[in-house]
Amino acid sequence: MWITRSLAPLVAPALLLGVAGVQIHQARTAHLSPWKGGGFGMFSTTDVVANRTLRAYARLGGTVREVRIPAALEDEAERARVLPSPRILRGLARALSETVPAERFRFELWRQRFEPGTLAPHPTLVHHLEIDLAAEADR
Amino acid sequence: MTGERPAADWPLRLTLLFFVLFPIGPWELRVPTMLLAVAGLLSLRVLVSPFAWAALAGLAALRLVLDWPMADNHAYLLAYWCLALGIACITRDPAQAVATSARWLVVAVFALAVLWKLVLSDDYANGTFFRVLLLADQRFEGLTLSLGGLPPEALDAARDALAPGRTPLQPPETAPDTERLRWLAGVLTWAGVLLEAAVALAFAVPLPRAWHWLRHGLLLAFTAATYTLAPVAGFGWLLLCMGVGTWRGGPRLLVLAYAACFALLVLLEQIPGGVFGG
Repeated sequence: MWITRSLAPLVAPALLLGVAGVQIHQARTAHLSPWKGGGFGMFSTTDVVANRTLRAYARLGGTVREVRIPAALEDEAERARVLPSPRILRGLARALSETVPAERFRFELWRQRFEPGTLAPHPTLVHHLEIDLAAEADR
Repeated sequence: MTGERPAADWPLRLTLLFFVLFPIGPWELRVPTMLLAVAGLLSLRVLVSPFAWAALAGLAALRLVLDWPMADNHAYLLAYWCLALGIACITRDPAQAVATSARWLVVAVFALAVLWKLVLSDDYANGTFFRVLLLADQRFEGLTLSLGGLPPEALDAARDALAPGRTPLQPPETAPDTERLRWLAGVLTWAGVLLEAAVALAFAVPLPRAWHWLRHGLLLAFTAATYTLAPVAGFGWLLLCMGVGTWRGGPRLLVLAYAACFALLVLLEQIPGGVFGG
């Protein structure tokens, strides 16, 4: 009983550390922006959503073209820039398919890196995923 | 929470004030959290009710789920802090429970901030992060132009050069900056992380009560300096609530400093874009 009482105030800090551990893992393996997710990585890196670009390509009948993500889907696109998970990108693909005819979508997440000396920007492809809309319809 | 140690109510009241001053989430969350907060400020029974704090923690956590993964870090901290206050309300010594939770939450937040900056980040320690931030982030424009000594036209050119969306085939442009700006970025880089490390250390190490002023002094210095530069007043408010939660008496000067810091955060919130914003 004494142990329970003395440990009770540590529940919230332990929960914080647990979530932060998941956030660090997600940032390392799933490209979650270090600024988000409860790991307290804000103001530690230029890998912030403003320095991430999401490119979308539509494939239809053997041709591939880059498509502009409409302003109406900006919230979904921003979510994908923060965490380009299959679930979030599938949702974006479904929403995009309502205005853009396509059989598949390819999404590319680019991060703007900066040369330490000159600050020259170097876009780097950090993640890509193809979504087959026919397979999505069967899900 | 009341009676022999009336000051123990302060962290609770100040946290409820947070919900009034910095309303959270969409209206479906704002309305219940504000109603609970006002009820707690008016009624002692609600103020010390673990159910009220559990509800606030639950609503704060619901915001994280609904907004995943977009919520800022202080939204997480708010949920943990409300949970900690709710748990404290069911312990035999709530003031001590609040102090313990607050202390270790502060340690965890600041230690993680240092871990990210010095170990996990690939561009903080070499100064790149603050150089880019000073050039690209409008909230720091005033600082960049004044202390950084960069002419406005050079700042515009730098922003064009740093803007994302460039394809790999386009040749990279070099963002113009100055020696003074590099110096300023270096100062901000190391002052920031050293202050965070000092706060984490001061709260983690068991200090005699006579030395607790050091913890409060460092936390107040961090809050005043950081949130004057970066307008995230809600985060600062929560950290101050935790500082108050660990309060066990001390010089009157520190009480005044806490009051001034809380007031400063409210005032800063009124300046769109922050003190140094463009």
